[in-house]
Amino acid sequence: MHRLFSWSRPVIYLFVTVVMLIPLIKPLGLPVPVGKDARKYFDAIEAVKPGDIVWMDSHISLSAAVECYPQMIATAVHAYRRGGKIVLLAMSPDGQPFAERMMNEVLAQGAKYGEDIIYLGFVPGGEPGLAALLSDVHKAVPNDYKGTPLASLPLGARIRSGKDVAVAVPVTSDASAPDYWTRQVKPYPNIALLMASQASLWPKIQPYTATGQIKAALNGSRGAAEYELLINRKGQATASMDATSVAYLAFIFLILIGNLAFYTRPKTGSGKEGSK
Amino acid sequence: MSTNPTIWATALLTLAVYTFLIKDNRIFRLVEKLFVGIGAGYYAAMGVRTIIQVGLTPLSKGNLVPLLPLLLGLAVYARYVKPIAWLAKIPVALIVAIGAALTLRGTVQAQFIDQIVGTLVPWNSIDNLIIVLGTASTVVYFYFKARQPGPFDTALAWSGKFARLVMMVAFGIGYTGVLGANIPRTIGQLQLIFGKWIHLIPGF
Repeated sequence: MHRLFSWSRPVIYLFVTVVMLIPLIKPLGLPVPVGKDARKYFDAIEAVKPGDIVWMDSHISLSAAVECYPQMIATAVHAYRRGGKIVLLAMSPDGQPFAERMMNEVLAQGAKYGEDIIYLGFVPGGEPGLAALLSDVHKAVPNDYKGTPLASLPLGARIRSGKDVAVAVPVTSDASAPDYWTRQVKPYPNIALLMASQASLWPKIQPYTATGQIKAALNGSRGAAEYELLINRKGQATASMDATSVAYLAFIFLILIGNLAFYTRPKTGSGKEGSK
Repeated sequence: MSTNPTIWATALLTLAVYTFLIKDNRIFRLVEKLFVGIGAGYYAAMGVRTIIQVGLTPLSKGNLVPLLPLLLGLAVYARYVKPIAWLAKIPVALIVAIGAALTLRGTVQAQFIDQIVGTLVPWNSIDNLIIVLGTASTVVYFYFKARQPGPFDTALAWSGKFARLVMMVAFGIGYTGVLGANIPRTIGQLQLIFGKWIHLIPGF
């Protein structure tokens, strides 16, 4: 019995790979119900008025890009459609290529650089960097990513401090981001703080959404897929939802198998738990 | 099959990492070192670029403001020269002081008062009851665990059991989050190998 439930690591990987690959090759069309978190996030961006400044931080690590990039591009496209003006920055070095990719996708939708969107480039410093930006943008980052003075760009001239920002959206894979964003945004009640993150950060974000410090948040690929459906723009997240759902089922099955293997394991003579 | 060399390189490197599942091998170790090396190089290049953009370029245009931060940055390396090693303490002290001051400014309000206010909810739903009782029992569990025997022992024991239950549920949610983060990563790599590389998945 114990041997039946004790699978080696390669077998588990092969099982999970095959299970995920089938719906990728032949999509099952499983429904993706939209949860209240994604809807709240959608409503927050939907409330953006023409001309409102939407501040976006690409704080994505390479490994989290598959979850976070669909959130980021969907948010930017939605904000642009609502007439929002996007001020984009990357507070992590890894976030830069994704910020540039996102900017180019928004520009391809018809946005004008300098008027509808500007990119400040990599802003180092973490929490102190964010605090400096919020108190005086032009002092902290005098030029955009190409070295053009911010004051010479129409949108750059408009944004002076956190007081000019309507919505801030850190798209992040940094575990400390929920803490320091809530800390530094607190003195600016005009900013509606949203957050889009990889799924593993969700438990860290929830205490802040419960108190309203973070108005709404997107939870990993699932949140991205729900949001893509709400803005009617099916993308990478929606395409992988079948495989994700099936993978969760596979993991539930594996957890059950693992527990069965554990409880049916042979007891060692000393009464101590066996290592295998 | 793709004709894009970037896709080929990414797919082959991904497969090389997966060879670890069979056993630790030279190909895996090579890719591991390649990843660390490229990562270190990328971050170093970013650092140099930032120094040029934020420090040296304005300085060359006559703006003296970045001079002080640049000198403080240089002072970090003073630790390698024994007679002036004490200079390295100045930038470190400044970083610690500024970091602590900025954190403290918002911590009391954002992480303490607002979080307590968040638990002051009417007892009119199961959700709210769980928030109030879960928070209170968990705080009690950690702060009154090592007290002397007294008249509230039974109540504390029950509160502790409930707190453990709440914490186990929270840990379970955390574990699901980790799974939820890893599944899309795997799917991303599968889409790369079976979609962009060998075109088995439609739409790539």
